[in-house]
Amino acid sequence: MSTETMTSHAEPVLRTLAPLLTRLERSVRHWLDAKHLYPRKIVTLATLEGLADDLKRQAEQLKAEQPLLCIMLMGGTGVGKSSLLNALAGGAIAKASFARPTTMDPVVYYHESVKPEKFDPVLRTCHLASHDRMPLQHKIIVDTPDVDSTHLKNRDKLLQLLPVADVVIYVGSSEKYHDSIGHEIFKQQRKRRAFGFVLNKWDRCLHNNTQGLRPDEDWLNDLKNEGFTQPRFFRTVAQHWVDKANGVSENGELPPGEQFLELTEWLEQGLNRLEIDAIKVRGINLTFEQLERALHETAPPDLTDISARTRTSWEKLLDDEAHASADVLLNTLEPYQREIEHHFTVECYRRFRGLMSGYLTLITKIKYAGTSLRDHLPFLPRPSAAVETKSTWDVNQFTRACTSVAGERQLDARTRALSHRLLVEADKNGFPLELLNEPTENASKIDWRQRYADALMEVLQHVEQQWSKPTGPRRWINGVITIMANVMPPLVLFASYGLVLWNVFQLPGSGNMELSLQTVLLVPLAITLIFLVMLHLLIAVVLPLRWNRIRGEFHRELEERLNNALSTTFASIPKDRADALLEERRDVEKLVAEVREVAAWLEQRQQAANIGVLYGN
Amino acid sequence: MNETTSRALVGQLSEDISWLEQHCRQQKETALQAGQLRLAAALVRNAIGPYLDGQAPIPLHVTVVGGASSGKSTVVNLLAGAVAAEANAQAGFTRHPVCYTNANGAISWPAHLGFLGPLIRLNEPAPSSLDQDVYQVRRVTSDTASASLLENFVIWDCPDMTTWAAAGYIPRLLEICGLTDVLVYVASDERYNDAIPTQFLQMLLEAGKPVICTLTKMRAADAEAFLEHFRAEVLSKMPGSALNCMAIPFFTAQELANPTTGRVAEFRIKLLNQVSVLGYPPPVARARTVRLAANYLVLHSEQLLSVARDDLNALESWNAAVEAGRSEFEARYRQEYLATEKFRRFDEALIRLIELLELPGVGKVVSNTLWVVRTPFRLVKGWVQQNLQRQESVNQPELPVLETGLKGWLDFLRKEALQRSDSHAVWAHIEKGFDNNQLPNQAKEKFQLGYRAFQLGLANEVERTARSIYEELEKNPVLLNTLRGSKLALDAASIGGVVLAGGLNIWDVVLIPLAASVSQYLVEYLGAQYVEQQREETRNRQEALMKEHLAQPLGEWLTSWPSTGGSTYERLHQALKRIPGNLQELNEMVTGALARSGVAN
Repeated sequence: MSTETMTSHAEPVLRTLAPLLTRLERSVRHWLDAKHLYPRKIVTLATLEGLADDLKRQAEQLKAEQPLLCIMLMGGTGVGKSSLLNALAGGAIAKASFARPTTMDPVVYYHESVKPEKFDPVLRTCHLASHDRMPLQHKIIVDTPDVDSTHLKNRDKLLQLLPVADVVIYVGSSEKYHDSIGHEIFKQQRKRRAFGFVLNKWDRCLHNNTQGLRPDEDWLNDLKNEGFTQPRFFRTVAQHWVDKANGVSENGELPPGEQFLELTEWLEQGLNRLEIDAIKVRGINLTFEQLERALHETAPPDLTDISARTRTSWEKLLDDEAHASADVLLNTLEPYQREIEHHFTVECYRRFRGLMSGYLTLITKIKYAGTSLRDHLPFLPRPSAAVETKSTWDVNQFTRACTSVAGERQLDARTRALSHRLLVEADKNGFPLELLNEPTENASKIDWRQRYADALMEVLQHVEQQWSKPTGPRRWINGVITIMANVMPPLVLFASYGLVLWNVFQLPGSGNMELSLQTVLLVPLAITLIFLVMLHLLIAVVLPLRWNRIRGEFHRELEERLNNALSTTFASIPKDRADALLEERRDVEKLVAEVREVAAWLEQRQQAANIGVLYGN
Repeated sequence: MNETTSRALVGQLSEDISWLEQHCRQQKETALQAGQLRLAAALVRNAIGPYLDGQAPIPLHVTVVGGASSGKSTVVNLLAGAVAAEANAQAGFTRHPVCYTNANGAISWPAHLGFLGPLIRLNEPAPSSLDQDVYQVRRVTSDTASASLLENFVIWDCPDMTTWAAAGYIPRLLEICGLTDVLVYVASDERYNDAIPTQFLQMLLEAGKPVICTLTKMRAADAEAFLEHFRAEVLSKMPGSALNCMAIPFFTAQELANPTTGRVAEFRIKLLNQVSVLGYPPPVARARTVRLAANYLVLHSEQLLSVARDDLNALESWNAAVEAGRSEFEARYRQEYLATEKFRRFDEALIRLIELLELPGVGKVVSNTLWVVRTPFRLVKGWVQQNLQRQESVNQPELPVLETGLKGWLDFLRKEALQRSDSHAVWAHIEKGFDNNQLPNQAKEKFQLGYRAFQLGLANEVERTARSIYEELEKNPVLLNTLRGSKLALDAASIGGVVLAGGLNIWDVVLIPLAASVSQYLVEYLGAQYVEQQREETRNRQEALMKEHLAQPLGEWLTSWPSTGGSTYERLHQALKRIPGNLQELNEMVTGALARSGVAN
């Protein structure tokens, strides 16, 4: 940027400004059109939309050889805006009569050298009146519809026109200078464009010996309170000048202090090129200020700390929830503890071979006869809402059935309550609720039953595996016992047979042969059986397999898994949202930086131009 | 009907409507409705109230209203026949109503409590720019023409309604408009189609005030055309019609300095005539004022109350949220506690019931014999039960289930309140209640109370039902003996049947115990069914009991929470409940009073 040639005149500055404004406008529009997570206020959006329009308009105007200054007359119905314009024009170009509202169509008063195509589109549809007065060559004067009549469309039209204005001349009369509607619009617009003031019907303001303030003093006081300490203020009797132009002089003399000529002088000479440029630059500066303010307003907050806090407090809640849910799920398993024990036992005993295996299968069958019998006996009382278990073990089906019972009973309600609890907690931490509401509710609506079923199934399988294929020292104990149990019973059997046979053959005839035949057959079997029972006891003592022991394992694992599932779904939400907002915040900051950059550039050039003025150019 | 009741009624109505107006002013975009409410309150306390109180019709009130600097003081001076009101160039100089009356005319102000609402009469003369809720009375010396008017009338000069400061004093203006019998609306050539004064005119016409429109400041030559234009442009769009329109063209300050002479006098007499006609005879004029005011109030009562529609909708949405929370609370109690609760007491009852069916006295021998015979059955049954009975899941205790449910309910409501706190003040109020823990703490207290009552009811309920299973039987020997007899007969029949069918042989050793067991099983099964049914009923009754003692009172308490504790919504509820009925009653009183006075309507 420093490579730009310094110019002594303001005009090139303004013209090089145009592309910058266009670029800025595009950025703002791009930002407006983009999707945003952070809710933006409609009012702010409308403001930004308007400011983008302003930028575009300003850029368009600056492209011209010399920018046109748009002066608008604003005021209540009947204050004499049209008369004022007629007086300025020296003839009836705007309709003025008591039969108002007369200015439905705004009148644009412009120099004949200016092509109407160059006007802002809003102005092109107005009533156009051209003139050939050179001092007003680069100024257009617009007579606008009233602000306060029963024709509300007029007010809308005015509000449409106002953004085009560089200078607004607020016209008041003795009656209306204080009216609320005009005052409101003035207050809204004063931060955006230049204002001049005309107190028309000055002749009616001069009462003798009255108590109150004179209207001009009163109004100047008001303006002072609004920050206009030395406003451009003119007292006029427009009708007098219209009559004079028409060759009628009905009202005779002008009251003292009438300033119509000064107004004309200001419009023609006072607003010279330098001032026009300054006003344009000021207008652009004001747009920048507004833009920056609006952007600041809409910038999302930085929620990094808050999201971290929220996460911490959520994790605690999720822990509790996982614990409680594990309880509930396990509770639904409770009625099936014998089935589970049975299943585990079968799985555990699968590693035994031969005699031991046969023995254990038989014992297990007897011990858990109930679990396989139950479902074949239709007349047995069953708990209501019982899970249909098949005699063949199907973990998948079993867990799904369990979780659906648990879900219907408690978990669905719990999950709903959880999302509410989380939101309330987030609010306590200062997290804006509207940002969390949707993702949290969505997270609570996903198929939690399926997740619970999955978790339960995984846990069942995992625990089962742990029991049937243990690790660590238990693995060694297990291995030793397995080898013992697989190898020793047949050995014992053969050994005892051998021993018995040995005894029989060693001592022939010493005993009863018939008796010893029975002994030969039964004693080894009995010994083996006793051995098997002892082994079984050993297994039961060393590797106990009771529901109570499995249950603890289940609970621990289930809680862990549920906690995991809940955490991955919920706990990351605040952080994700905060990150997304931070991203959006950066976008806004980038935009603000861009505005500042152009503003800084403008200020630099402006100073250069002013210095040029100082040096007599 | 007497004065006391009418005074109380008027007092309450005007207070309620004024409260609604204040409530309305606190909200955005309801300035117009606030104005209507103020006018309604003023009509009640300033026009109808004094009439029901039996106040004399004189003085009648003529009120001059209009936009800033539109020429109100000029019109007042014309009516008073003297330069009574100072003409001010400063727009919006007058800030409180000023009443003008005859120099020696004693005016008896209605000594009615609440007359002119908050406006206080100034005893010392003060400039009319005093911006306070006051009014003042000034005496004027007038000529004969005005003197005859001032015999019956007082003239009110009012502040404007157009300047940006007017928002603060429009209520004073409306207060006087409620009082007025004849209204003079002033519009200058500049103001005649201004939005705000026109809106004002429309409201007063709706309220049934007789209006004279005076158009001012036009050139004398334009007067006729201007009147025509005003009628077409403004009046034609009004609901009622102004009684009269007249033009008062532009006069110089010198001309206005003496309103009884010169060009001015001609317009003045015209105006005086129009006002006098409307006020003659005074009792009729006053009766008309009162009649029209009452009509307006009754016809527009719904519209007047419509400002509270948003509040009611918000309260409605709160009710819906509370209801949703309540059904969830009930469902959770049912699912998490009741569905799995076993009511152990009933198992005991079953045992007692079966024992009761055994024979007493001599029959004991038979019973014992059969008991011995059934030994194998008992053993098998014991084994089967031990092996086949499923373990029952551990039920959660009741209190934690209820407490969790309550917590969920409150969380849900709090979440809703947080989400909607921007939508309406009711929700913001509720959110605040949650924020300072007032609402949840009170809810928990309420819950504790309800829970205690529930427990008391419950202890009786379960115990009574369970005990009644066997006590009923004990108290009814006929039934008991019949049942015992039937059981004995069943046993005898089954054993006898076996013996008869197969004769006495070795198989009887197996068959007789079997037959005795089968009959016993049948009896036990029937008993269990009966107890089960009782258990189910108890479950239902317990649910009903919980609803009665906990869910319903809590729900009702929560529903009414925003409108209790001296909150705005309590007052709103009261006002909305009372106003329509009171308006009707007031209307009837007016009708009665008018009929009694014999003035034709």
